Amino acid sequence: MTQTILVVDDEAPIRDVLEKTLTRAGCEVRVAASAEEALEILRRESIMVMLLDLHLSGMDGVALCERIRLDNPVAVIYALTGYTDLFGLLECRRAGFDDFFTKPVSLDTLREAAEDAFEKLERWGVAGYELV
Amino acid sequence: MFMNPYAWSLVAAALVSAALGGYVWKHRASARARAFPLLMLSLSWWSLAYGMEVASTDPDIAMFWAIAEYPGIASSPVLWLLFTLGYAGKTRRLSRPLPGALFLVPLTTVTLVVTNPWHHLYYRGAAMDSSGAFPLLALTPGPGYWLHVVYSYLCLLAGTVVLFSVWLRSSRLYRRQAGIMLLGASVPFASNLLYLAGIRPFGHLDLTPFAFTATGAAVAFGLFRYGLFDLVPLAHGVLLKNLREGIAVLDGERRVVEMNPAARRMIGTDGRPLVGSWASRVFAGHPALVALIRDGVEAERELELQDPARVLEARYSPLVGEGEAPLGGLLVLRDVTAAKQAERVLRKGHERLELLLHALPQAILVIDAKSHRIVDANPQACLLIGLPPDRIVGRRCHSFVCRFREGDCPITDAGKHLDRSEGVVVTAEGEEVPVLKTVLPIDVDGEEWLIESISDITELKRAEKERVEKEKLQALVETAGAVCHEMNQPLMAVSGYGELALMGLEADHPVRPEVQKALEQVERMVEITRKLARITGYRTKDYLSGKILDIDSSTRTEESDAAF
Repeated sequence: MTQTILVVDDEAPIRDVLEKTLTRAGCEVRVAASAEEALEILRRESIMVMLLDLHLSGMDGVALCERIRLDNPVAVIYALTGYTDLFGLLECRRAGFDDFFTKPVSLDTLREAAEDAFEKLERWGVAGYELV
Repeated sequence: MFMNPYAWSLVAAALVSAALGGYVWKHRASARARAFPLLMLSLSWWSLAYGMEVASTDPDIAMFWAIAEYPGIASSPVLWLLFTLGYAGKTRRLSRPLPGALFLVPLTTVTLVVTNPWHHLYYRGAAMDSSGAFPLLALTPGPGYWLHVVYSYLCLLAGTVVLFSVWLRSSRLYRRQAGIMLLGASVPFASNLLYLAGIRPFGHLDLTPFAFTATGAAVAFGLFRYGLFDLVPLAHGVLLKNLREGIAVLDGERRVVEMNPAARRMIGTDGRPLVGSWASRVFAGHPALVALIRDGVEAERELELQDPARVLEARYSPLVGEGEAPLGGLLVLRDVTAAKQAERVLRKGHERLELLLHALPQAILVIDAKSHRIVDANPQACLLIGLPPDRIVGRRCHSFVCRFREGDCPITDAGKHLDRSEGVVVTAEGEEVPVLKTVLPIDVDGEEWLIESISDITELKRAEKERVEKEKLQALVETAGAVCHEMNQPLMAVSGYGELALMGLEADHPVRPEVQKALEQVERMVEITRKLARITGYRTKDYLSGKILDIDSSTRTEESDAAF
């Protein structure tokens, strides 16, 4: 089964680093610089693991997560942020994020998180969703 | 007619008596002395008629004068009694018909004398005695004569007793007056007693008219020397009657001797006989007065009476004689209702102001503008300063509340009409409490006072400080958040590329240690941004000549983080 992961971040170097890291880990990586771009990708492709930067221009990461959760309550969605506090964590959990990573985070941690997500999906027996 | 020396003397005595009577009539100051000129007139007539009798050689003419002198003889003792009663101030207490009744016996005497030839009840017989230097009418007395004598002596005695009582209760000056009069009164007694006892150096010549002339002279001496008729009756009666104060005079046994109308009115005893009664009975309705009198010392009491409601001030003064023995006491009563009412209104106003001053939630100090001494401090002021009022009042305002030194007062020295400023109050413990003061100068009855209203603004100041701290922290947290966010993006990229580079390098590649060192420094920076993300306070540390944020001490610890 192809392990596809969506990375959303408005910073090109971050997108680049994450894409390289996760590709090396054996994932199919889709990258988006904005929420709108990400939603477009999700319309075209069934992706169940996502890494979203909270700070995006236009729709932010929290709103994007909420939007995705409307159609897909099962997907494993991780938040990635440059800075947050307790209230930020609560907001993330409320919006439907499964985990939360503060930048800079080690690449190993992210790799493990991706592996963990795919393992979970496999255990649940969920491979994807039908595209409309 | 033979005008012998005795006859001349009697005529002279008659003239003296008439002159004295006329003088007193003209100059009398009091109605109480009214009897004296009449007495003198009566004596004058007696002396004159007796002189004529003595000068008569014809028994019929002598008899005529003997009868003619009787209106004077019979009325003199009664007039004497009336005069002494008047002098003692007691005529007011005699009911009107009494003076008239006193003249019943003299009238009877005169009637008996005139009608004697028909009944011989007055004189049994009459004859001319020629045994002496000149002929005198010798009369044999009958029962009517003895009635006259007894009655006359009773009147003389009663008058003398009255005088004696005046002498007893008088002060030194009046005692002398009364003494002189007593002396004068004793002369007729002595001469009459001698005459009745048969000791008659001049035979049948009656010396009584001469004696009465001596009495008149003694009274005249009193008149000229002491103003007998001017002062005593006037002072005693008019003063007491017209005094607005109630006066009660008590004797040593605490019996009421005198009580003026004002006193009767004040204690409500009108109509009851009071003089001579025990004070405890007279003042029975006022136990406080009874106690005051019983204590017998110089003291003052206040009595509140009902119906109508009024307040009396009673003052008791013991009266002591020369030997310090208590003679009695003087009770003076004053109606102080109006004064008390005014005082009550004033006190109520004062209490209202006091209540207002004490109920104010603000600390208030009243300061004498001249001396800058505190004259009043309300409870809030005492609470603020931490001292009781007696340790604040009297101190200078600089001691507690003013940052301005002496001679630098914004009101009294700089001439400001109102000073509103922030300052400090120095408490009893020396602590400086931040306050907001308003000082207002006011004029009270010509004295300038400063009213200083003080509000404790400790809580305001604390809240203000907290607000500033909170704002600072908020700004810091926001700045730190921005720094973290902005810094963490490139840091993520740098550390990510570093890790990717390491992944692509052989284990013994010579660049590997440098890349690892670079990553260590990145990790250091990461640690700094993490600390910034956990800032909970605003604490600084010295840096060169200024201060910078002390990140370590301003940051939440990992342990406290666990609590979230």
